[in-house]
Amino acid sequence: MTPALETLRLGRRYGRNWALQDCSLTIAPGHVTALVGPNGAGKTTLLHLVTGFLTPTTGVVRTLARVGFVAQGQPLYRSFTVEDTLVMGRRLNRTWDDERARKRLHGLGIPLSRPVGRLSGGQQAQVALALALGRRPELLLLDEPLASLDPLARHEFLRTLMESVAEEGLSVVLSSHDIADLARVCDHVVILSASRVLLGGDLADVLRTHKRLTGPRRENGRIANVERVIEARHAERQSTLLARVGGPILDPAWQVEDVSLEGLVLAYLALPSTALIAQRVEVLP
Amino acid sequence: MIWLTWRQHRAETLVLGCILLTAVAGLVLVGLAMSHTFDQLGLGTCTRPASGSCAEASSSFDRQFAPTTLNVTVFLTLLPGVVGMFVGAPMVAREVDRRTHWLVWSQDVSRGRWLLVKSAGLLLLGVSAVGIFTVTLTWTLGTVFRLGTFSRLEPFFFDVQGVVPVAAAVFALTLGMAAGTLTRRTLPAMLIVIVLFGVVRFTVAQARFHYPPDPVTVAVPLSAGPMIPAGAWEIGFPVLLDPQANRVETRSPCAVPGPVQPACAGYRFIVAYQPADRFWRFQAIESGIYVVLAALLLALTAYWVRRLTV
Amino acid sequence: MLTFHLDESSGVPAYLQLVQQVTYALRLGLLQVGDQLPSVREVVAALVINPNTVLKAYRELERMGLVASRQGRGTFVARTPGGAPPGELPALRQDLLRWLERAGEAGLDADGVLALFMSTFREAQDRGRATA
Repeated sequence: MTPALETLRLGRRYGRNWALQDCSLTIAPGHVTALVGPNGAGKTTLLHLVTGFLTPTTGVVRTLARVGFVAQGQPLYRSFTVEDTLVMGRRLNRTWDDERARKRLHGLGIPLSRPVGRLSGGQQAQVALALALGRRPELLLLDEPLASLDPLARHEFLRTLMESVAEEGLSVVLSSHDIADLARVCDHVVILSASRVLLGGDLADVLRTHKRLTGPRRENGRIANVERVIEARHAERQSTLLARVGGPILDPAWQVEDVSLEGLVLAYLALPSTALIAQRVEVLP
Repeated sequence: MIWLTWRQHRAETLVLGCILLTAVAGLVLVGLAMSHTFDQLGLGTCTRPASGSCAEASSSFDRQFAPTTLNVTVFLTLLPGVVGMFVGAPMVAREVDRRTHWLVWSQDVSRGRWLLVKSAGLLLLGVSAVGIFTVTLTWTLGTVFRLGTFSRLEPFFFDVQGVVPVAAAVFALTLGMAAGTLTRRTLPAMLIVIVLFGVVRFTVAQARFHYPPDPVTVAVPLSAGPMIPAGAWEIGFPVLLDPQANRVETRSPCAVPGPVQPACAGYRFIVAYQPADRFWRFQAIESGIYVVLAALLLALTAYWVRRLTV
Repeated sequence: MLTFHLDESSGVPAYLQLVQQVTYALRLGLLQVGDQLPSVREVVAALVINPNTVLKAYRELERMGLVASRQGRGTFVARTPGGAPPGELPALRQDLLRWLERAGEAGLDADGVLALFMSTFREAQDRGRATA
């Protein structure tokens, strides 16, 4: 099965700064992957390398044949009508599903004759999405598609996106610095920070293998089945750890709880940069 | 891609078209008026230099049409720069500024084809607009040259005749495209176009004085008639020599135009000029300069566009 | 047609909530054998969740033997979960309604009813006589 997206030690440098380095990912087709990280982490760089806007400094990137892209800010020609935008899509693309694009926009109540500049933010995002989907891509990349949308518009945008995934078996990678909206719609997650990939994999697996451990204060020593401690907080008599586990925690001293995706992402992003480079299994700090 | 280029620049094409239409209509009216007045004043029968009633008719004609002639010639001198500024500069700059280049390049069109079709379309627009205006102006100014007092090679008129305005427009457009690709913002690009276009245009106009072949230099004995042939472009100032070939001050009584004094027999003027028939050769040289510059700028634009990472 | 809902704060994985809702509907007779479950697309459009979540839920229901998917036609209820045959349910429901009326007449409010029910239910479970 060809991966939807595969990168091997992908990197991009500007002058002396690495915007992305040592990025090796494999994303299977038919999944919705969240690319999460703070601003400047390298999310846009990665997406631009995949679309071909940037050439890699190191490494390789391979994708499925047809890639669709919605850039940051969902750029559109504001003086064009919605109709014009669709005509542009038809004329510039070898493969174009005009009927489906029109049907989708009609279903959303977006008038074809209105200039794009006079649509609401949510409607503009939907037009940009319709344009990208009109190409019938096998892989769709979206750079911060929800950033400037109000909650209702975000919900509608994700609804349209999920419907397309259900109908067409599309693979999706969408970046965001806000994790809250993505937990329902993504089944894969990649965490990026300071130009490096911290974590990547199936969302259910990731949530299953990370636990919050609470117990009496302890600063050294190993805990059976803990592969790595991501975050440790020590109060006077208590320690709280967020750890990646390889199996059940049987030590009765520790109370084990699940971690939310948000909590997990925050913990990873809080890792100091020195820890990012270490690949070895770590014990309690 | 052709459709997209048209649709993107539809508005400015229509605006330019309207301006052009009005301007051409105006020029035609002026041209007809000039021709009519010329015949009315009987200027066709006058010989050079104008004297007596001819001088009066000539001044009358000048008074009537000199301001208009000035205005339209200035307009066409500036038009290529303006086109370069408003049509060429935003071509890449506005797309990058608004991030729509990511929109277009996400579709099935390469950067190369995008640039090729867009620049070809805009060059066609600029060339057509400036070309039509030049042709109309040339026709309008035809009457002025029948006066015999002006040369088509003169700086003021040379800039707005023949193919030079079109070549200048091509240069200005490609300058705008290159500036826009470099700055990636429309306003700075427009500024660069005004400044650089003005500087280059001025420099080239100065260089015109040195276009090969060298000016014709002749010794003209004092007489009441014209010193240079009709339509020729005088270079520099005439030098007065006495019979011994010494330079004479221009304050000398012999330098005064009019009937020849007997004391000034043997005096002659050394005068240099470019004959009228060199007009097209000079047009070719100057247009060539602009076209070569334009080609370099276009190549630079293509190179920068390929490397654009923003 | 069954409509789903998701409780994000419950801590229960989404797909499991869908499985539970289908099982619940089957037990109550809201879904009968042969009924069609909403298509993946319909569920996704209603809940705005990943289609794989719905697929996972339907696969789980299939594994439990409760539903069967027919290629290109949809997913259909195959059998009801163990318990009273469907015919018993209306009668049981009537009995329950009558009891609730009596409880209301006796002066119990909603919390009182629930408390009484839960304590009696647990007692019955302990005695091993309930079918839960």
